[in-house]
Formats: sequence, C-alpha cells, structure tokens
Amino acid sequence: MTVTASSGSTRVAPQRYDTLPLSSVRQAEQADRFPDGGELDSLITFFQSGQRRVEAARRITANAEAIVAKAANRIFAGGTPLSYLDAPLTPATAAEATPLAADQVAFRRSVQTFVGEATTSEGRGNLIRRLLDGAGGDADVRVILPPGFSPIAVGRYGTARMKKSIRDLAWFLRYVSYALVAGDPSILAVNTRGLRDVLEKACSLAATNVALQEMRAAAAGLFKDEPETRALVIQYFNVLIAELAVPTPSARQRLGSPVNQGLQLPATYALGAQGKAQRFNMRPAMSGAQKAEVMRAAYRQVFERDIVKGYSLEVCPVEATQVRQGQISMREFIRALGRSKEYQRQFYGRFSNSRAVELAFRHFLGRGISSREEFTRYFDIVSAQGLPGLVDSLLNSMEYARVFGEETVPFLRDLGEEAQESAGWGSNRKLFRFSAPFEGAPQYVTLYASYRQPLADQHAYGGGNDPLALTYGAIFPSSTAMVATRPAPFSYDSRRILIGNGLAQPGQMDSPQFRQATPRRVGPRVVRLRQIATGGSSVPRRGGQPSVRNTESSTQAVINAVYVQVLGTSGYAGERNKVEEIKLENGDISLREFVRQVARSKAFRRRYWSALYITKAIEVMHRRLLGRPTFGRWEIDAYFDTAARKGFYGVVDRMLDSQDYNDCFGEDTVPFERFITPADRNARQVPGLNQGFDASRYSDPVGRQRPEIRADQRLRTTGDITRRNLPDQRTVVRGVWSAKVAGGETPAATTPTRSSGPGSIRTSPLPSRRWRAEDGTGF
Amino acid sequence: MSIVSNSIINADAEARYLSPGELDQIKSFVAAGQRRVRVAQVLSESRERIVKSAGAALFQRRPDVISPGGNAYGEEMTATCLRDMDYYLRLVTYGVVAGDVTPIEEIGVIGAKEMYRALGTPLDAMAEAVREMKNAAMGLLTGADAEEAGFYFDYIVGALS
Repeated sequence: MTVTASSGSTRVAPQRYDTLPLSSVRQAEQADRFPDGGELDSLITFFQSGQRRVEAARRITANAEAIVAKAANRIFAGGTPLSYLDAPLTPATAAEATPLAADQVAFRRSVQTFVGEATTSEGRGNLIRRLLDGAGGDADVRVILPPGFSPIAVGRYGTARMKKSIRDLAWFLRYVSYALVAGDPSILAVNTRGLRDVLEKACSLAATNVALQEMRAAAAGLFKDEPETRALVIQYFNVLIAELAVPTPSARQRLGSPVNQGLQLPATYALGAQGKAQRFNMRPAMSGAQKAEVMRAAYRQVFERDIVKGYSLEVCPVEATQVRQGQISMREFIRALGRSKEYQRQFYGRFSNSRAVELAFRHFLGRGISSREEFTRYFDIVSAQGLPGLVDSLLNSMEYARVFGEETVPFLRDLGEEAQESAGWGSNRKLFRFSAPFEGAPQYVTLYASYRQPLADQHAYGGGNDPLALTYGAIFPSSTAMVATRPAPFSYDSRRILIGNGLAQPGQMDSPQFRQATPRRVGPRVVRLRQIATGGSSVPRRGGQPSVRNTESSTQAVINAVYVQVLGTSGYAGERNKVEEIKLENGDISLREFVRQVARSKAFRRRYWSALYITKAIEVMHRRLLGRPTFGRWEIDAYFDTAARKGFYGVVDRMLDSQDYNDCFGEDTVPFERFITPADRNARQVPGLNQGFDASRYSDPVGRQRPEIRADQRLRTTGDITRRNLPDQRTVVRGVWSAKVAGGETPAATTPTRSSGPGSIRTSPLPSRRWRAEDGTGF
Repeated sequence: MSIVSNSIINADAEARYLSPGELDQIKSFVAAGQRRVRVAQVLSESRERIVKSAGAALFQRRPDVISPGGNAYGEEMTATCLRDMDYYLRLVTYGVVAGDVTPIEEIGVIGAKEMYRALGTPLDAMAEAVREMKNAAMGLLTGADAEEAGFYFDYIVGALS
C-alpha cells in the first residue's frame, strides 16, 4: 500500500537566478559577516549604472517589436513573420487608455509589420549601406552567418511553428531586458542552457544564432550615443549566444548512498544554484586569512554558528593548527570536532539518541536521513558505540568521500544544491533551519512511525467512528478515539477489506474468479430458479427436474427468497408484487427482471432510499442487490454520480445491469450475501462468555511449603567415586566393521577379537596414576 | 528577494516585459542605492558602538536579565546576548542593502521565536534590545537614512514580539 503519512509540506520557492543585491547579501550571510568592502563596491557600481540599466530596459521594451521584426525578417523568407505574433509585445502605455477595436488593432499591427520589414529590406538590400556598416564602428555587432544557415520559407514552415518561433524570439529579448535590470546574467544562463538540443530538433540552430545576432545589432543600434549602455546590452546578448553554443548538460545525479540512487536534478536547476553556496577548500597554498576563513566555515558547519566568535573558545586548537599546517586533512579535523567535548555537550548530551543521529547527519553529511533503514543502522551504531562511533561511521562513509572528499568543508546539501527527497520533505526543511538544535523531539523517527500504520481506516468517509456499521458514509468524528492510534487516511483509491462469506477461493478482488466464486456449505444458501425453455409463452412444464445442489425448483420458494434478500423480509401484505410473480411463474420474465421489479417497488424504495442519505442508500442497496459492500470511495462516487443524474431507478438499473451482477447471479440466481466487512463479522458473532482466569479453580488455594531436601550428612571420600576409565577393564573391539560391496559379494565377516591392554590402537595411554581396585579407600 | 527580483518574477510569470510601473519602482530603488550602501556602511562600521550602548541601555532598563537567574547572567551569557544583538544588526544591513525584508525573514526570523523560547530567553527583552539598537543607530544617521534603516529595525521588533 502507499505511504500516506507526511512530515508536512513547507512550501519552498527556490530562486533560480540572481540579482546583484541579493547575491552580495548571500555571500556575506554565508560567511556570517557584514557586507564588506568588495561587495559594497560592486553594489555601488550597480546602483550607479542602475539608471542606465533601467533606461535601457525601457527602451528595449518599447522597441521590442521592431527588434524582433528585424531578426525574424532575416531568418524567414517569403512572408510577413510578425503577423504570426500572438500578442503585441509592447505593453500598453497610459496614452492608449481607450482600447482600440479589433480591426483597428489588426490594422495597426499590419502597418507595424511592414514598417519592420521596410527597415530590414533597406538594410539588407542596400549593398553600399552594408559595406558601410562593415567598415564602420559596428564591428562588434556585425552579423556573421554560421555555416549551414539558409532562410526558412514561411509557407513550408507552417503556421503553428511560425507562431512558436516568433514567440521564442520575443522571449529571448525579454530575458535580456530582465538581465539588464537584474545586473546579473545568471537569468539568461539558467533559462537558455540546454535549449541547444531542443532548438536543433525543432528548428535550426544556425537560424537562431543569426536571429540573436540580428537582435543584438538592432538593440545596439538603439544606444548609438551611449557607449556604456551599448556595451552592456551587447554583453548580455553575447551571453545568450554563448549559452546556446554550449551543449545541453546532462542531469546531475544525487550523490550518496547506493540505496538512494535515481534522484536527479535538472541541469538548469543545478546551474541556478551554482555559486550560491560557497565551497570552502583547504589548500596549502592559501594565505593565513583565507585559511582562517576556511576554518571558520568548518566550525560553522559542525556547530551551526560561529562558535569561536560567539563563545570565544576554540574547539580542538591542536588539530586546528595541524590542519592549517597541512599535517592533517580537513576530514580529520571535522572528525576531531565531532569527537570533541564541546560537540558532545551541545549536540549529544542534551538529546535523545534519535535526535542526535539526525543532527549528526546534518553536520557531517549535510542532509537529512532518507530512509528508516538508514536511521536504524545509525541508531544501532550510536547505541552501541556512542558518539565517537557515530561520527566515525559518518565520516568514513563512502558518501562523505564522494561528496566532500578530503579537503572540502561539508556544506548543507539543500534545495538547488541537490535533488531533494520528497519522503522526508518537512523533516528535512526543519532540520536545515537554524533553529534545528533547539528542537529536542526527533523528527524522522516519528515520521517513520506513522509510515508503519499497516491499514487504512476502514471507513470510507468518516473517522472510523462506526462500531455498528450503521452510519456508513456519514462523518461523525469520534470524541473517544484514541490519540495514539492514527490510522492511515482512507484515500480515494484505498479499498476496504472484505471477508468472503463462506465463499470458496474468491481469488483477487474484482477479478472474474472473484465474481464467480460460489459458497461452500457453510455459506449462504444459493437459490436458483430452473426455468425451462418452452419455446413460446405456453405454460412451462415444471417439476421432476433433478436439482443442482441448493437449487430450488419450487417457484414460490424462489420468489420468497427474492423478497427476503431484496426487501429484508418476505414482504408484508400488499408489498408483494403479484403481477410480476405470475409473470415469473409463467416464464415471461427472467428472475433478474423479477429482482429488478422488486427493487423498483415502493416497498424497497421506502426502506432503502427515501429514508436514507444518498451515500448510505447506495451502500445498503449495494449490499442488497449485489451481495457485497462497496469497495471504497471510488465505487460509491460512481454511483453517486448516477444517483444525481438518473435518480433511484437509475441506481437500481445500474446495479442490476452491472458486470458484477451478471457474473455472480446471472439470469437465474437470487442474489445472496457474498462478502461482508470485518465489522459485520464481529457484530454477527454471538458474544461468548469469557471468564477471567481463576487459579483457585485449578489448585488448592491453601499455601503449602515446598518440601525441603536435606543435605546428605554422610562422609563421602574419594573412594565413593565410581571408578571408570581404567584400562584393564576396557574392551577394545577390533574389526567389527564389514563392508558391503555393491556387486553383491559379501566379504567374509571377520570375527571380532577381543583384546585388552595397551596393544590396542584405540587404547589411551596409561594413566599416570593407578587406583588399586582391592584397596577401595585410596590413599 | 529584492524589488528587482520580485518584479522580474512577476513579469516572467505573465510572460511580459517589465511594465513602466515596475521600471519606475526599480528606478527609485536604484536611485536610493547610494544611500542604502552608505547606511549599511555606517551601521557596520559603528556596530561595536551601537551594540555596546544599546546593551548598556538594555541592562539599565531590564536589570533582571543580568541579575542572577536572568537569561544573560554571567559573563559568558552576557557576551552571548551581545552577540545576538550584533547578529540582528547585521540582518538590518542585509535588509538595507537588498531593499527588502525577505533576507531578514529567511535568515533570522523564521523559527527565531521557537529558538528563544527553547532557550528561555525573554522575547520582550530581545525586542527591547533591538529597539535600543535602533535608538543608538538613529543617533548616527540622519533624515532619510535613519528612516530607511529604522524600517528594518521595526520589522525585526515586530517579528520578535
């Protein structure tokens, strides 16, 4: 069954690209310091150029259509590409407050298209102008045609693809405008890396390249008088073009234990995270300040805060010196920190073992626990060997070696860094928070405890507060439900447990086998009507037919059985449908039709439909007509739908025409109760008299003392010891074995010879001390 | 999340260019950039003074926290208290630089209450400390600068109390 327990779903929106203010804050935050000189300088440059950037973005936005048109007209031939644009690119400005009519918009756009084309054809057609362009200062935006480029014919390309291509061109331009404002090209890289393969498949990479170069030239043309802005715009277009040249990177697999393979992080996602988390590597060539920075990172990872600064105490000063001098590796230093007294005090002594394991995973592997098996393994280790054993096993693990290696300080492998598991999502998020060590209760083991609920609550809608199975489908929260028992929720596709009512081998639920199962002797009585084909509407011959087991040949008995099964009683006076009974007796209708008429009768409707709420009505009718409770919510829901659309008669007809009915009862069998729920079974059992255990009934209640065994008072000496192992009395048997030869020839049996004394090979060496038999008393 | 990334996310979700309104917002953010950097610089340069004077003021107003049985009693605990104040001052500079409270919230507010409750630190004293730091910082800044930084101090006070 599926695991439905959850550790909570904290929502996280990963940020996939950077803006300059944010990236500088993040750098400072990860090193636990104030934003320093370098960062502030780059921020100042950003703010200084900010006016320019915003202005550039505004101008590009305003001229978006012209820029895209220029590129589109270059790579497409034989049509007006821009007419395939779905929505106008330029946002509506305040001036255009009054919306234009549709035809006016269309007119305007067609004009714009021609304007765009006119400029390009001018640029393309005029040879002198192109030569001038080439010779002029626009060398950095000159369009270089890549090999294999040929203009795409609009007619052959198709409308749908044209629309997409034009949309994508606008899309590239849009991201350039974003990057301009953000002051960081990462948004371009994140969104375009990996597009190369898509473009190659869908259209032409060369054409895209040309289009981007054209857009670059057009955009640069907007900023002829501002060389700085122009350089900025060109720079971002260049990033775009360079990113498209890079082949699609393959998805990144989550490193880790072989148990958890298959967690993949899309490459663009990993790219977005690149450079976000700083990596600290200890290298011998580093300066003292750099090394100090790395050491602080190590303390931060293991103790979760800048412990040296905060508590002005340095943990493991000897090892710290050694790792600075390169005598031990960073891994050994982390190990020393983990085994230190300070770590023991902060993260081991205060916590239960389960929580200590969780925190150690965060500190030494940078992730949460991923499965119950893993938890048990490390819990065993910490129980048997204590903290040092736990730290050692984590640091010696293959995973640590693969992810961090020898010299890297461990880091949190959080969202964006690696693919995250959804199983322990909430617990992982909580573990990565800085408040984690202040939470004493173990998170994972409680989650795993919820996993182990073996069965869903058997009540399809309610909270299980239905001891008599009467209120099926109604939700009555129980006030007395035990808090400790938390059954897995009954979901849409859960199926109830049904017990065969004396059926032989019902097989898998809802299989043909299951439907055709017949009851054994202990089960319900099956009543079957033997109708004889008369070949017409004449009176059938009846009687004298050899009956199958349990088959009723008297029609009246069959009719009675139908009433009992369908109505629940044999029917009060006036409830029985005389007309249909006669029709059945005459053989005009089949038994199924008769059942249908009884089910459609007023008596049935009054009992099982009018008085009940729909869900319960469906459940009860299902039991009456199909002989089993519904499987679960999906089945009820389907009937609910029928009930809403077609009402009571629709539900009856649907049950009687179902595959289930057809296979189980067919045309000639009275429905019988095939399956019941465990609750039904309990309810139907006659409660037995369960007497408490009374020991006095089995023994005499009067206390008696145990008989005491008196110790032997006689003097016993070595002479009382039974003598054995004396060589003189041993009998050595030789040659008693006989071999049986397969051929049938038996070798002559050797007569066993008795020998005594040390001649025998099986005689042990003579004892060094000999007891004299006649003496008896020894020394 | 800063104003810049926020508006990019919004625009990207609707697949449109940045609207003139958003561009204006970013423009004003950028225009105030020099001031932001200056405020951040002032705060980080004089952080010891701010923390020290704010700490003195706090302990004067709340003598219970440093008296025996108080949460900041003893040299080590007092140092811890001052360290936390330094920490929140740092968060203010992050907020000032990014022009948004999201960094503050992500780094130091989510879960902070639970943490202090677990440590037995009186939250009102912590809020008081931040308020004192604000007072101290206001003495160093003027006009619009003070307003800018004061907003983030107030945000932390609100989040802690």
